[in-house]
Amino acid sequence: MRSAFLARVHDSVAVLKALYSEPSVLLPVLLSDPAPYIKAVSEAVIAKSSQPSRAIIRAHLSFLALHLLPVVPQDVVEDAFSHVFFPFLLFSKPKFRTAQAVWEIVEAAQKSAPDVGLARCESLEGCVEVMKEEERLFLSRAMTRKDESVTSAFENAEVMRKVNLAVASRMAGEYLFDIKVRLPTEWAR
Amino acid sequence: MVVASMDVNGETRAAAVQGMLRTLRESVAPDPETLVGTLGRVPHKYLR
Repeated sequence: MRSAFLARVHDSVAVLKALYSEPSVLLPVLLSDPAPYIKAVSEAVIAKSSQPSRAIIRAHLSFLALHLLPVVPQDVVEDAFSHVFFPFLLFSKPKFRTAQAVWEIVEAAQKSAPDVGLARCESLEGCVEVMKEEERLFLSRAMTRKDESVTSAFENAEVMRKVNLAVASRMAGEYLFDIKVRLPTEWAR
Repeated sequence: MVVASMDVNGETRAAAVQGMLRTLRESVAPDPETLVGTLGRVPHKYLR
């Protein structure tokens, strides 16, 4: 049955809605070995050939962030972050709605489970707050200008640039920290 | 139950997935008939 569920990860939105409709029933099946499931989701959402829709990306990432990642070890969370979430986090003109949807999922997960899962993912630390602040500043400036044409702050190239820079710097900081920790061992060889 | 490699439409596959989930849910839920049966085997003195 587990392999049948894994096969459905690549299916349509309607099938994914059914698959993720009862998290408490599906979770025990996936928890026995979450790695193949995360690999399948990664393939399903990043596949260049099929160009998965935003609804498909949202279905997979919501289940992962809100249900699976809060109950798996942190190394599995980091694996899911790198292979499933990270590719969608930076904003661009054609993909800003997807990036916004993924950040909303990350925020919801961090709020619903503040001590586990994505909330403990160091690379994401402070990123949602940076985004919210940029959004707030942009919207308040739009209000001052009485500009009612603005639908989303993240549509704006300057907001995208600032958020991307802040997120990338935050994550680069993590990697620099990793290198610092590893360097002495590397040099000792 | 075999659902992999289904060459059917999405609605049928969604129904099949729901069927699998239902089977799983029922397989872990306590069976009321078994509970009645267990009570039936409780020694008579505890039922007074």
